[in-house]
Amino acid sequence: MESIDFKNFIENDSNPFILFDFGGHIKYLNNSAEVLLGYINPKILYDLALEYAPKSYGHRGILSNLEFDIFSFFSIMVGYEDDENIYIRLYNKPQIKQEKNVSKEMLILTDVNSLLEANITLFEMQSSAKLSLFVDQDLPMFKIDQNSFSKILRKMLEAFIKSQSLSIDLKLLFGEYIVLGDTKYQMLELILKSQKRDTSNDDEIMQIIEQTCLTCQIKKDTFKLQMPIIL
Amino acid sequence: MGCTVFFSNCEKIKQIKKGFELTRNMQISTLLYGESNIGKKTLVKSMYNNATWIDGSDFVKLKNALLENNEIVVYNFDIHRNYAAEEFNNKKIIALTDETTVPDYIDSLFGFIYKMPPLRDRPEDLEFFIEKYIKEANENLAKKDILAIDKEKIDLSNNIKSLKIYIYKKIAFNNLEKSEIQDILYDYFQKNLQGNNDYVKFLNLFEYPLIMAGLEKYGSQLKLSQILGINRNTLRKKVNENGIN
Repeated sequence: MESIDFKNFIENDSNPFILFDFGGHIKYLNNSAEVLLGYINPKILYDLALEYAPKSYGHRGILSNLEFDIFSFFSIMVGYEDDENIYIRLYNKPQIKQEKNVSKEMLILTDVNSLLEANITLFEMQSSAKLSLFVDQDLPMFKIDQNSFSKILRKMLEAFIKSQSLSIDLKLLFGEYIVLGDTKYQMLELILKSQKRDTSNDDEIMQIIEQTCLTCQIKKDTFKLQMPIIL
Repeated sequence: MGCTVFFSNCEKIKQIKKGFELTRNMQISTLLYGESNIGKKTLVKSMYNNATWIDGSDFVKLKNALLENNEIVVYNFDIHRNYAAEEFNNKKIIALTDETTVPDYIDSLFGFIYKMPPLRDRPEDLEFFIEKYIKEANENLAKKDILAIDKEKIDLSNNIKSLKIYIYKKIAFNNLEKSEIQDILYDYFQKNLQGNNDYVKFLNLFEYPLIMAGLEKYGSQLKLSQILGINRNTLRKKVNENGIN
């Protein structure tokens, strides 16, 4: 059989793969791992590899849910390359991709800062949380479903009513796009973050989001809401 | 159409107003709830006087209005009815209800939900309304009384409505002539005399305010008994009979 260069398969695999030496230095990483390391410290992955390393030679697979920022994995494999090098491979959690066909008739040109301010005003009536607000006042008006967006925002903010502090960050995402139908749109991201929050309304929030053209990552302490800038 | 002016010094209400102003030109459904007679209608009228106003207790009329209009104010909104979420999307609907709690499914219809505080929780507004209704009552009853209102005694059980009634009564009954008091009592006895021991029963109509006012004015039963020219023990007995502490 003709010799095949399998390294190319690893290089372009969507599951991150990293090879460490005995000191935790990276000796090799594939393209997916390069993206992943833009979000987390390699030391975390090295420690993970050591923790789950097999007791003798060979490799070991572990089923475990791992969440790193926007990444979710359902399993890892840790193995020895030789006496000095150890590798870790993380397996992406499959995600159901839903086609969103949102009628543009429902979308209305909106000053998102005003809508956010109105929601913050409502939040301040119910909470004594210390607010840190980072918004871009020069954001363009763009089209959203105002009532649904406001419902989502209100529900998200309600999750922080008992929190001591809340940071609200609204910014343009550069280099990231969302595709709706056949069109690619630039994105705006709203991040609500605190040390602790109420998670009881998370399912309801996701249900409302699924009916809109928005996407959201929900973590124990954070909401990251991405919206397309439809002009 | 006349212009409605809304006043409040209450911080929470100022924030509700700010929220309404920020979303003035947006197609968002808003629910404003809270006890009756706290100024919900006046607040919304000051901003949406020209919108279509619908009585929400007429469910059929409301359903038709939701179909036909993109901007309506619904007063007497019935939160116990079933509404479709689509009826509230992409429309400017402002719903007002006297309910003090909102069920979850209603919560999911509205972009904004505000709870307006009752008047008893708004001491910063109370002074304004007392002055307003004293002035109004003096004008309407052709009087010129400057009343010292004891805020502890004001009836706020029905918010602005009961406050208004309290002040109108105070103004109307202030500085009554003896004959006017007799007229009032005459009408009262005409209506209520019907038993076989009514002399004793209705005596406290006279004794209770007499002793209460006297004790407040003179501070002690001893002094009051001298003023009234009756025995101290008699006064003590009457104090007990009238349940005065």
